[in-house]
Amino acid sequence: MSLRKQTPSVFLKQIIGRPVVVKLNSGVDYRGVLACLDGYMNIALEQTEEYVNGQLKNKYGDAFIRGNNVLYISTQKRRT
Amino acid sequence: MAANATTNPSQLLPLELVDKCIGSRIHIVMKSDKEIVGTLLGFDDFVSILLKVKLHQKEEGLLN
Repeated sequence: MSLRKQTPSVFLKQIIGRPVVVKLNSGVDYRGVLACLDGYMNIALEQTEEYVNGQLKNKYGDAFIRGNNVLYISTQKRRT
Repeated sequence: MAANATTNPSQLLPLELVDKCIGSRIHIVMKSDKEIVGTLLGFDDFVSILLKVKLHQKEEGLLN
C-alpha cells in the first residue's frame, strides 16, 4: 500500500472483499473476508474465525458485528 | 500579576496538529494500557484513525 493521505472511509471502501482482522473493544478477534460494512462500522464477515486470547474458539459461516464494539479493522497480509 | 503585553499567538487547532502529523510516525495512547505505533495515513471528523502498522511475527501478540 502506498503512503498517501487517505481518509478512513476511502480505506473502508477499498478493503471490501479482502481478508481482514476485526478487533473488538473486548479484545476478541475476528478474522474473515469482509463482505460489507457501513458508516457505523457495523460489519458483515464471511468465513469467520473467532480468536480469544490468540486461540481459535469458533468458526462461523457468516457473522454480523455491531459497530459500537469495533476497535479496529485491519487487512491481513496472510491467512492464518 | 503583571499584565502580558504580548499578543495571543496564532491558535493551532487540535485537528490542525493531527493533520500536520499525516505521514509521520505517531503513538496512539488508548484509555486502556495499550499503545499503537504507526504512520498516520489519515483521519476524519470523528478522529477515526487510518494507521499503517508494520507487524513482525513477535509483535502480533502485543495487539491482543
